[in-house]
Amino acid sequence: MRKFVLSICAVLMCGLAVAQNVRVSGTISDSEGHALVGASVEVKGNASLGTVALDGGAYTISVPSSATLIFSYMGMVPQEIAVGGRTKIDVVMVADAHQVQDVVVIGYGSGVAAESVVGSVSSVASQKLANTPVANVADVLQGKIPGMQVYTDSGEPTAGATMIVRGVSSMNADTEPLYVLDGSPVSASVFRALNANDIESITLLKDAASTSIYGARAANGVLYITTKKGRVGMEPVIKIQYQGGFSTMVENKNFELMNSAEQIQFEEMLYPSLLSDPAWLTKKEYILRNNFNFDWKGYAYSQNAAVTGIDASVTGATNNTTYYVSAGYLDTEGIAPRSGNTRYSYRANIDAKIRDWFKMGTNIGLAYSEYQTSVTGWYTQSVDGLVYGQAPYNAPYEMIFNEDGTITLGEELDYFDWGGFYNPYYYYEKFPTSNNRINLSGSIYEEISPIKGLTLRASQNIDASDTRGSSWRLPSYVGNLSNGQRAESFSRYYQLTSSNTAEYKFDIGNHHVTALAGHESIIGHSNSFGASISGLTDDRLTMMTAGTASTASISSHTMVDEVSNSFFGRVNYAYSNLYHFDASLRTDGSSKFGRNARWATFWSVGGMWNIKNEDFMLNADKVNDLRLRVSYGTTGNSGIGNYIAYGTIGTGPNYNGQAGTTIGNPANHDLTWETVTTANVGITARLFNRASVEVDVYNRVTSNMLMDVPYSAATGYSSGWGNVGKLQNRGFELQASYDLVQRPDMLWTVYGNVAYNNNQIIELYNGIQEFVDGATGLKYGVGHSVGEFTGVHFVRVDPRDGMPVWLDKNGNETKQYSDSNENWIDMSYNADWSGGFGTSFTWKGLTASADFSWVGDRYMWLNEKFYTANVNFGGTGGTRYEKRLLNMWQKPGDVTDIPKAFTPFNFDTTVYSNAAFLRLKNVTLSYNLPENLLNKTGFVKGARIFAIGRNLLTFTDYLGFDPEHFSNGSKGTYPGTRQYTFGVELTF
Amino acid sequence: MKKIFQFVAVALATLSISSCDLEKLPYTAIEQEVAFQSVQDLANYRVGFYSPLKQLTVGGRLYYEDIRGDMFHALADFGNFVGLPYAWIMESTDQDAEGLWFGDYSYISNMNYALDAFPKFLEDYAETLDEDDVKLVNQYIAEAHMTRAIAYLDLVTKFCKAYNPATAETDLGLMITEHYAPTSDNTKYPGRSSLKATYDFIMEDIKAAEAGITAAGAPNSVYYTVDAVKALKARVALYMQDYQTASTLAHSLIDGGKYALAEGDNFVDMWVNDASTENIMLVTMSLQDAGAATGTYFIYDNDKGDGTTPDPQYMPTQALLDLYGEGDIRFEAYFAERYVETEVFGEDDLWLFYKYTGNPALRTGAKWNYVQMGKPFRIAEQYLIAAEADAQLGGNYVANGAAALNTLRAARIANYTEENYMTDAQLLAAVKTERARELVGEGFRMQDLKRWGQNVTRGASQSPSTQMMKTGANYGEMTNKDINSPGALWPIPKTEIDANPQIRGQQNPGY
Repeated sequence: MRKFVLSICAVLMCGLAVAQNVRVSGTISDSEGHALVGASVEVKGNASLGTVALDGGAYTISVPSSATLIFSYMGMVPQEIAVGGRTKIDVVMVADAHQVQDVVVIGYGSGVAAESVVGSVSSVASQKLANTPVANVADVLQGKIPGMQVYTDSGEPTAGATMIVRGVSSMNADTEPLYVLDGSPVSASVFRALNANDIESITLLKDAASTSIYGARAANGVLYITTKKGRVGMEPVIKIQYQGGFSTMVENKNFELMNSAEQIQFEEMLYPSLLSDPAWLTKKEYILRNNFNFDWKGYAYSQNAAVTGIDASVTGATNNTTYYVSAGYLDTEGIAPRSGNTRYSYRANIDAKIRDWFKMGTNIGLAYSEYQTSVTGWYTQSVDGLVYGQAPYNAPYEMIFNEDGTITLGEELDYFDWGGFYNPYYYYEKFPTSNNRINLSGSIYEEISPIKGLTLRASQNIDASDTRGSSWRLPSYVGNLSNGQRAESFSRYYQLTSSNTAEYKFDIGNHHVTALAGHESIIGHSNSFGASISGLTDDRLTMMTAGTASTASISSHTMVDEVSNSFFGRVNYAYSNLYHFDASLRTDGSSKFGRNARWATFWSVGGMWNIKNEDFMLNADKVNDLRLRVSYGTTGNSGIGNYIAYGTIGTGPNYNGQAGTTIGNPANHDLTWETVTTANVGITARLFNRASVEVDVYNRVTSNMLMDVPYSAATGYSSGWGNVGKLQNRGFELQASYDLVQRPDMLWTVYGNVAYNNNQIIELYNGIQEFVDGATGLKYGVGHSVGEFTGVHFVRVDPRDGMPVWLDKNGNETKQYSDSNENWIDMSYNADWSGGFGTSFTWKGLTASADFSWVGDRYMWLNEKFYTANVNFGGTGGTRYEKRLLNMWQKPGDVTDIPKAFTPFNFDTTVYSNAAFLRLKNVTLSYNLPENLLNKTGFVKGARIFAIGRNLLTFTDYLGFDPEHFSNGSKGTYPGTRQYTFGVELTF
Repeated sequence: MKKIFQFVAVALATLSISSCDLEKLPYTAIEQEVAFQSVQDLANYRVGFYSPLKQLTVGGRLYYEDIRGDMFHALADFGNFVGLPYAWIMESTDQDAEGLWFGDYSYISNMNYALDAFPKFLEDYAETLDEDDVKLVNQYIAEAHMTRAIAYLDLVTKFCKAYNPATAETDLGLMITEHYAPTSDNTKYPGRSSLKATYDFIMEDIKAAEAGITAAGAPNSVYYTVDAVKALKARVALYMQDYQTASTLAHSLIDGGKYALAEGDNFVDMWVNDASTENIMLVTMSLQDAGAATGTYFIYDNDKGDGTTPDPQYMPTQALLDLYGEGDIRFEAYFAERYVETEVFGEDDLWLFYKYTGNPALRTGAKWNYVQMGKPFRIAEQYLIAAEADAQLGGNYVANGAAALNTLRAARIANYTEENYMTDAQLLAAVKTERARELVGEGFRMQDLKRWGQNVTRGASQSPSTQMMKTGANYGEMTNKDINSPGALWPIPKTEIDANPQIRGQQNPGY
């Protein structure tokens, strides 16, 4: 109330002084002489007279000669200068040590300056994220954040990414980070709905000091996404951009199949009797003479699927309101048939200062996607099946001799007779699908500052999606002629989040304290419903009402609630910007856990020593920044299914036309949070004003691990959920960057990062040393990593008889294959090493950058080999074989690693392949047209043309489809894609 | 200051709205503690006493034990389907064994739950239940005992030796569990009981079933009847070498006269449309709730789908085909000659096992799906039990047994002339052959061979060129197996041994 009275007085006094106005102008710059465009100039006591510095930092303002001007700019110390009759005032602003530009989110509260951060955090800024030619922004993060591995599992335009932070921290529960969008937790699907150009930055919070405040699900790190906002006082910027290009398949040359001549040669090696079979010889001669050698891969995965993106945004501010409003369109066709994604996205981020003590705002993101997905996985009608596997069985030389003397080539057939397999192009035409999804991610907040230093904030968020799917089997499909089918599915998800925080900042001399207390509730609900009907007879009449009622069936109906409640608090204490201490505490309750154990408390402590600010470093002018960070604390993981703590009776049995009930889940009322305890030590340094280095060493121990523990069958179950065992991840991260050239018109930077993580199971359950997960067939062993494979060690092929030689349990060579000789083979599908490196170069208007990413020490199981390297299915014209089988052992003395024909196929160590890779993830070239050129147009302020390439190069020894696939094995995955796009961006 | 109070009030209001209840119950299930509140709730749960029969009386529970026996050969391109059981080289890590073990114990656990909860319901709701309710619930309890007995019997015939009264006290039986108490505390898991204790437990269940199941028997009963219990008891008694009981019960079922042996076209029809006067019980199925397929691996016609273009994994041995004489309707009902083309290994006209072509009423499309309803207790089996028990009892019993056997054979064979089975040995030998002839494909073979101590001799092939001939470490000796060698019993799954310290050291030999 006191403030209000004061401002009324100020207005009254100003009114008296209006008569004596002067025109003041000048420039505003920082201590290095850089113009501060957008810096604001206000008249003390009369905000309505303010202006903003424009080009060159120049400003002009008409004010009373007795006025006092307030100059301010984000990250700088505001200055108050009395006009005192002057007409020219140049201002040099100095950086505010307490408020550097990079404000880092640390979970709730107002965030802290980058140089005050106690925890371990890494950010990727908007420049790196913009214009990514795939719908999934996460893809760009690959290789950018040390300690986070990102795998884009497939080239499907709707594909998401798998993100692993500092190693897999759980065996059976989720290993995904917690995603937070502008302060509110959201689901992973946000990445598909977010327009990359709307993102200001993505920050990964890694250690306990930074994540513990998030308690629930923070065990795997927190990925904090901040979208763009307007800045107070800025000139409105209108941006329009267009980009277009195309996708092609990323082909792994290591996985090469035989061509016709080779396949024929190989089949004759398998069946020498063919050489005296006249029918075979005629066929062979015909094939070779006509050079039938069809490129099934190229046929199935079109080589130029279009990518189109159009974006428009307006950023700016009016007196007390900032805004960012955007619309985006991204259309990505898939390279496989019936695959594609079209997304319309809209965003409005508006913040308004209503009163000095009251701020509010809203972040609304909307997206509508229409998409179709192809079929993968080596099923009969999957595309990969056509290309690599079973059909057409006579590939690559399937053909039909027509009566009129012409030949129908395989690809023109609708049906490949030999194996009962339809041409996928025909099949997908007859089995169309149509899916769409609306995503809503919106929040509003209200923030009041009733007294100095105290901020009370309430925010309300909705994260929601609504998905619809339709699929058809058209009545004209010859496999079920005149008996079409229609299926419809609906699913909806929403999560309401309400969080309320109170933050109080106060200083006592050099002691700075920030205390935060808060509460957060999340209510989540999802439901889905699917139904189908058959009996459609006309391709044009395919609504479900056209089907035969008696064939209607409900394929799914689910409904799930999830609720959590949290109370948390944090205290930051800083002494003279030398020593920083953090302590946080959070109590979380989740509906997922057992009645007796729903609540758990997580905590952290951390400290940071800003060595550079010490007196003894004052003269060390080669060192620009040097900080030591230490933290320790706990976070929780609740990433398990709902309701699994209850003992239930469910539906299921049917007999004699009656539906009945049966026992469902076994009860575990003590099921509780999995806890990850993290210790972290890190150093951040900047040297010679050119080099930045950051090193972190950590140890994470998962305890009370949520695991599906194997039970004795006597319980009636094969397993049940419990909190058992321990898992450890320890490792280090190193990132560095160096400015090779630092001139006003030229900047050339190189960067690189390396992360090493060692994953080890410390304890399983009941004291056992190893067990096989019934669901996945993977073995877990104490002292081994999650994902380490076991196998019978293949040594060589005996040149004498062509038989494979293995090692038995005792390490002796044997020719008898037995699963009992399985050993740990020190290969894991969880990579120990990962990283990235790249460079960026800016010269005048030209910018070029290249980003590589890599993972090392990683293996996958080649499930495809069971088909493409296994001749035991027999017959000619069957599966196409891998080219390397031509090296098959044939006669005594042959030295090779391919055993003789018809050796039984065993899943020994030869099915594991080195899946390490180095990938040129992104290349960007962009050019800003010179201003003097644009000035002639009078309204175009900036124009930029750019070109982007994604996944341009891959270096790998992997023998399967694509090493960038996060799974223990691969079989018929959708190949990764490469994009080339070109674009133009205009600013008004 | 007023502002602050207002804000705090609003904040508290928000807090109280958003601090919500963490007790969220599933929509698809009921918490166990409150699941049974009415007799109707129990009736719903009782559906689950019968639905397991759609697995226990058909599918793999049958064909495993016939493929492992001596009456089928694998074709050269059999693709290793059921290959390890066929070659007697199962491993404790195989999913086949896991499926049987965990599957049957899950049925047992379902019954255990009912056997704990239903009596408790009777106590808790005693005041609200009338006499009929109590009688009904007691019938349900008896039915749960019956299903539990069937599940234990399925396990004991696959994982344990045949019952020998002399050694049953020391031979290993099954883990016996009679209460529902899932726990991760592995010290509470049971080890294997003796074979005697296991069979005694099964008999106890059957007696409990007898006590509460009062429905009179009638052909094709879809629920348990007095006669179904009797038929099971006769079978178990035979397995326990309690021949007196077996003989008495089997004869009483035969003499009851309710179940006429099917003859001629009626017999053929039973293997197509399932219903028959022979069925003491028929495990009914419909399109919507069909059970496991039984005949797939003997036919597998994916091309035309009507059995004219088969691509089977297993074919009958010549020895089996030779068992059937002139005029035997079973040959017509069980076998069909078809042209079979194997990939690479040639083609041949083969007599294939067409006993389970699939009930047309259970087909979802035009193609055969080899699904038949379960026929757990056929009167024909009782004739064979009577004859075998009588042969074992010897003396005066032989004549009764011989009569039973002749009656069965007369129903199957046109213009049948009665055989004279003079001695118990003659009768026993004849019964053994007749069991093969009559019950082939019905899942009895391995148990019979084990009971009789008879080795597996797969014998002459009807088509050596298309037969799987591989031998060696990976496939084992394909033709002959010593009935006392390890492969005669299924391995206890390794997952069980890993989870259950009490069962360590109790694995079947050879695994």
